[in-house]
Amino acid sequence: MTDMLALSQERTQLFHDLIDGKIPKKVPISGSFAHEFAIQYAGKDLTEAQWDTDGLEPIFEKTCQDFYSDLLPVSAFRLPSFYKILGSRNFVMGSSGFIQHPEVEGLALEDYDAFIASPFDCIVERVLPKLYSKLDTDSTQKSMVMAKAFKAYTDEMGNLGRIYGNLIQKFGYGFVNFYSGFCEAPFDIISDQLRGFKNISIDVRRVPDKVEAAAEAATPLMIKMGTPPNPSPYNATFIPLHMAPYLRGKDFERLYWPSFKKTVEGLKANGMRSFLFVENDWMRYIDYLAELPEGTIMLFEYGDPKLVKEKLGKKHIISGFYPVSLLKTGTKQQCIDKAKELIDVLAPGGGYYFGFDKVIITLDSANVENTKAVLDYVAENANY
Amino acid sequence: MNSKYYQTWEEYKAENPEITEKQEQAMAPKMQTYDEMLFSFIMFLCA
Repeated sequence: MTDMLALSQERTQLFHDLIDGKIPKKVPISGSFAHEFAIQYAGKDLTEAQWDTDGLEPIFEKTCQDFYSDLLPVSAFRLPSFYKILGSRNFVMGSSGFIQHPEVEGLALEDYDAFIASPFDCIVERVLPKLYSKLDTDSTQKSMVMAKAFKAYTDEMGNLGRIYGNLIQKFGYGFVNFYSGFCEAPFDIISDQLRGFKNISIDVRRVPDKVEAAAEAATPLMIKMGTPPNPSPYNATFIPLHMAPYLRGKDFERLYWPSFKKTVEGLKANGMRSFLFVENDWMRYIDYLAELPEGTIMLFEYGDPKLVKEKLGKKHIISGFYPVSLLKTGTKQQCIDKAKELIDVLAPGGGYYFGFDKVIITLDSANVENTKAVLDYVAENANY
Repeated sequence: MNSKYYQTWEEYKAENPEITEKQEQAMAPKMQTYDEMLFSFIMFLCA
């Protein structure tokens, strides 16, 4: 057995123990860097590198070499080729090469009923032409554009899959994938690119019945979207949570929570655990999170780690809380002390892996030396 | 899922009764995969 294969097996075991409710040999670490960070860190041009995905492997490799992680620490999610082919309005590359997400309205107010009646048909017929200008045309042109975009998308995803596999082998990362599937909370998919932040904030007050029915209608779609072809108990479906902290309690309880809970339960029934990015501060909803199926993975951005450990630590798998902002502004010692503080609170009894409070998206988001120091500190010292 | 733009193998087969059992064994997984891939792509575009 090669050294890298043995290392990979050891790291896989850390995460299997974590997921199986056993205390692993040490606190597992999942470093998380966006492809934009990796490109800038390798000194490459953001625009050029994102268009040439064949060439991303040595770029990602540099981040893998320099930052400790037990799982592959780099991933790419949104790439320009297919968005450009489609004339995307919702994901647009800025002059820096960073793909931005402007506020959009993919679903008109008067289209709620069509969405409620058949969400997928409504997306194909009404939403996509609003989000993608090249699909707002006759059916022949539309099918040609869609064919090109789908080819570009499958090419890009194929390249990324090959690169991920090579890097996992080369660096001996664990064979656990918390991004094996992807979907959103039903309320969030309606909010993010269908109605937009501004419109949904008005809709929850003016047409709550429509919002509630739309979230309910989107639920089976989200369960289907989040279920990969080969579910595994050691992989997870990534669900980034967006809108709940911006809602009043009564709106959350009626419009957000029921369909979201059904989605997580539906995924569980299909053999997938959910990996929630608990964005912003969910502390006022912490008792709701406790209701989700056992073993749900929750990466917290903000909030009270002690309260989370106390209320969720015996049932769920916790990560996050480590402020990327501190990596940018703190001294090396302050950064290491913060890691110690979080490990002291969250690691006892297991059910915890070390992770930052968000993905590090650009090179100027964090001080590189602080980031390395924290990951190395945890790798060397957080043993059970 | 009830949609004009997504078809299960069973629905496809009902529209194409000439498909033999041998053909079905070879075709079904591949044909269904393409429907699933396109579904995932379309959902990705609005997520």
